[in-house]
Amino acid sequence: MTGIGRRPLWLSIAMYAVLGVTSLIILYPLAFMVLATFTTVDQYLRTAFFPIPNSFSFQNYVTILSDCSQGCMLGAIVVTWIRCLWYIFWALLVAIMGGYAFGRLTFPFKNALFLFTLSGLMVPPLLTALPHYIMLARFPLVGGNSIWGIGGSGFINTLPALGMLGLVNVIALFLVKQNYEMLPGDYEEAARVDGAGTLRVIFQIYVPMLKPALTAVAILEFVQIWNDYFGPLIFVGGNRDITPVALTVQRLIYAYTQRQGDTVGDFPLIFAAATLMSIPTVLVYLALQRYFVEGLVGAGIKG
Amino acid sequence: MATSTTMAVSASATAALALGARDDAGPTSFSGRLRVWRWKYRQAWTAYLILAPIVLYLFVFTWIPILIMAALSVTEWNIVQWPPTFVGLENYVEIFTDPYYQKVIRTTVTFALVVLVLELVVGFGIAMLLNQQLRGRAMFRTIWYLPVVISGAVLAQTLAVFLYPAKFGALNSILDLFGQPPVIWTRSEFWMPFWVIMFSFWRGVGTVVIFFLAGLQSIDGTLYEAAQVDGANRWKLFRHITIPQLAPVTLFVFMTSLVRSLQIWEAPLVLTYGGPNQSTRTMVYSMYSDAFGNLAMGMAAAESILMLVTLMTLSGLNLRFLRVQQ
Repeated sequence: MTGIGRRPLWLSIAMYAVLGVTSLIILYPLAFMVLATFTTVDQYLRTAFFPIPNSFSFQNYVTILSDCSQGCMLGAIVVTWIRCLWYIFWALLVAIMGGYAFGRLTFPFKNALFLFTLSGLMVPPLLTALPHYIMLARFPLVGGNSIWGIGGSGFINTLPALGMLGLVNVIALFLVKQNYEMLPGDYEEAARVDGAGTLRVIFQIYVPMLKPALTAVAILEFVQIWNDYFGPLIFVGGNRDITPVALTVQRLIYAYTQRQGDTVGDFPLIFAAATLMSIPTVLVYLALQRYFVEGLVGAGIKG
Repeated sequence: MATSTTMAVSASATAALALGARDDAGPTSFSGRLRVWRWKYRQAWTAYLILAPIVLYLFVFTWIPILIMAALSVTEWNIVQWPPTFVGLENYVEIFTDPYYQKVIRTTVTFALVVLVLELVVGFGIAMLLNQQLRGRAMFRTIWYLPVVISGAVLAQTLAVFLYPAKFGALNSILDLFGQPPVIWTRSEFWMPFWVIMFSFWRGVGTVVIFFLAGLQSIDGTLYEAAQVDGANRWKLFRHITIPQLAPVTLFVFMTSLVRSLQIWEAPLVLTYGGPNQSTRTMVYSMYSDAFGNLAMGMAAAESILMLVTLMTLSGLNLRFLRVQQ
């Protein structure tokens, strides 16, 4: 961009070369993964450094979708989609409402409350998994627990354990709040003069203007929940019927790489599972990356 | 829309103005003052109504867990027997004196620093290249970001196939092409940490690229034009405009990347189980295996608290620096 005169040709070539080679290295494992899914085990083993399929057969995908040895893929996909929608709903709601409060209103203790909310950002969910486990397992009056939370297993290995934690996405709230602050106030004034209530102001005036930021929030949340592994492993790891897709795929891969004895593992099948689970997030990202970069990075850094 | 930063007009101030307030003196008539007062009162009431559930939720699901953990960290507890045995600061002392935990800390810090340096150097370089006028920029940017949106746990598990010990493993078959004997990666105390680091770098570098790129693109183009008029060359533009303008972004990226790489867990958890010979046992993995493998809840809690204090200090510093920069 610095455009001093014209760039010398050798520099252009060097830049393309560096970028091309490094990008190929970054892409190699993913390209490998996708190509391997179309091979049979025999084909795969002949060219293990870069599998090139003879024909495009979707047999591995069919097999992996109908295999229920480690929990069914189809069931896992359904559970994960429901979970994603549930989390996106809460992330958006919290961001829209909380962002309005912090971005558009003045009230006593605003800074203190904002700092308190922001402090949630500094606590990675990985590190609170242990007390969360105890809280879910000792939740009173569910899963065989008494009113004191003893006797049963509480919410562990049940569906609610997949939807209770992390409903408030502080990053999303912060991002949307930054975007609220950039919007002009005239529309709200006009609507208020006409007698519109707060909810109408938020959902009819601001939400349409916040579309890029809200899209970014939805992508962020979708990718995060779709790929969520650690939480499900700890909270519902013992219940195959409701394990989300990341955990199911990881278990399938584990099962097929361990199957040694007479033969090596069924590697193409493993890659089919991994590819299948990667498709939704990659597609969502590809389709919406404009919003993503605009909404996320723009507000995040300059804010 | 998200990037038009200039119009940061406070809505509340303008709304108050529209409803009868003048910004300094305030309305003189009684009814005018009443209207301002009612608007202020309504704002506060609305805000509290909205924020109460959010704050309550964060309190219950973030701060109470931390309190529980702090309490557990001074006990010995196997999750079954009640009550936990109080042991004072023994767990913390053990973390800092026991050779096992010292190794965990060393591993964690080493991994974090190596990944951090790799991500910053490569991420910055790639962002600089992507900021040039090249054909296919968007495609390259997408490629670099792809590993970030795919599940780390699943990718780490597929790494098992690449590292397969026989010559069917992808990496060993590349060695085979050059006539080298296969390496048994999974048993090597050099190679497994190496691959764990490479994997974490591969997963994280896309984020760094995107943030640096956004930083570069938000530099005001007129700065370069002005300097060019003064006869600055390419290197001077880079040294005196790009570098200083990029300082806040660099700090932000540095801190977030450090916080992320201190928490490496995916490859250890699904691929190496901390091995071989505990050479890939990071703090988060150690915490996990203490809590859910050894049922040593007190130790796991103490590890979590130490990590938490470290990370919160780093994030706190980050926020502070960012504010100073502004």
